[in-house]
Amino acid sequence: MIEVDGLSLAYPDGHGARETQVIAGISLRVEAGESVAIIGPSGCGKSSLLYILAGLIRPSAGQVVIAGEAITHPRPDVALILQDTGLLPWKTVWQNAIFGLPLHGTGWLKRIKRALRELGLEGMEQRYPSQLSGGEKKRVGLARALAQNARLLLMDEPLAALDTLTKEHTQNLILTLWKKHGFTLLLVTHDIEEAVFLGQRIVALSQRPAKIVDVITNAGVGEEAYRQSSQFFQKVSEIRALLRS
Amino acid sequence: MKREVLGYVLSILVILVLWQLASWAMHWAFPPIPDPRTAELKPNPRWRVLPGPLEALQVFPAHWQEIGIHSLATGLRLTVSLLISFVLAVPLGLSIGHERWARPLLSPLVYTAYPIPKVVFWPILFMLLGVQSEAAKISFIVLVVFFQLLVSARDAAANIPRDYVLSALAAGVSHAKIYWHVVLPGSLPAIFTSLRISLGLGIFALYLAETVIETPYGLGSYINDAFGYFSFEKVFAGIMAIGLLGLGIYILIEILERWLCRWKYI
Repeated sequence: MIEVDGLSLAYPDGHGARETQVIAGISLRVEAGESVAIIGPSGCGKSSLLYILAGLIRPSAGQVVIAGEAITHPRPDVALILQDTGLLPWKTVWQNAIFGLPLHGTGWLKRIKRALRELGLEGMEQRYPSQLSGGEKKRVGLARALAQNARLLLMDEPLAALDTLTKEHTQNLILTLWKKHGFTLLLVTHDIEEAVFLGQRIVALSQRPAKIVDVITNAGVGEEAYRQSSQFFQKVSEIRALLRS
Repeated sequence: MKREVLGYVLSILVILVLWQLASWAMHWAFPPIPDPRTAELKPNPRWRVLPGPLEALQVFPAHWQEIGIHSLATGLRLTVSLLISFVLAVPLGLSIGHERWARPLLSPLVYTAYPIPKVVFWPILFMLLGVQSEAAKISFIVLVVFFQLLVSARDAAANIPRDYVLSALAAGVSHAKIYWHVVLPGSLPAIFTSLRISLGLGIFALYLAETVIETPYGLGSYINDAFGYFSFEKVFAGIMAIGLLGLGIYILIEILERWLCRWKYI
């Protein structure tokens, strides 16, 4: 379970005289195995929120507790996938997949091979990211998270640069993995349809400094067919209206 | 690879042809001079200033041991200087570029020292390390090349996409290991480019050091001596040896880059 309590973030502006408030008092509770989509205008502080959850930056006030432990540094059971997946161009698919994993014991090799097989990356281990398509790169990022045995998957606008069909295919893949592996999914996106397709709850943030404007329950999530349902389109319209207002 | 070898061979041939044409142009620009006593036409002494490539190449088989020793001395000085500069400048440049606290603190120092012509430190180096010492010559080249590499490494490290560092940190990689996994490999292509530029600078500085200070071995002193007794064939043989030496080190740098930055060449 993730508990975000009164989280604020401010940093000195370029001249150091004033502070720029990025996040202003966000509180949120996410149950284990839940999927939550965070949506909001560009530059509102969505990514900063995710970086705090990943333990990469410290908040100015408030705290994040994951599985009963206050977050002060990255945890081994939390995976972060960035917009361009964060794959290192000088490492092969295999090297990227094992990057940062504790490689002791014998289980890790099986785990990585299984993750690559599951994501359809078998036979591509020696390729470099520049030799992969956009969708394949996303799958390497997901394979890394699976190999890591992540209990919390944080995704920062992971599918933003993909074409429509690859995006839909990857969204379906994320949904399948989430259902199969039961990890908690926290997804930051500016794509309303993506938020509605993947988020059991959708958290709408305000302009900077980010505050929670509304939390919308989205019970239909879980099946690929949801994308074609009238309930889906209704939810998309509801959120669009909320963001416009 | 075959294409590149062919490219190098063709380039050398083009240089030789242009050189031969320039040499012939000298014959045309400065016609033969009639002997005042016999009225026979004699070769113009200015022709000797620019001998043809074949005349210069003929020096190699006749003096290969001499040229070999001088080339070896210059090559060793150059390689050692480049290695020392690399070892000193790259880690320092990478840390200035990567560490946010170091950037505002040390960058002004670097950019103030960078444009100073390093020749001004020459007398100090020679006084401290001895006029004819190897240490003085190598230190001078290191001083010239060091800042070139330092600035490139600093800029390359500062321009590494933030996502790479964040992704590595999120994967649990320690701050120190970020250098090995992210900062160094991400900066290497720019560092290799800088190393190639530094090679030219290094040869220039070394030539200066070997000619101005009397040096028993070194292509600079070989060329300087040849100038002394107007043996222009030898002068050009020395110039060719410097060119070949530079090309050899350039190819070594290229091979090293292709091996260390394989991901760029696929």
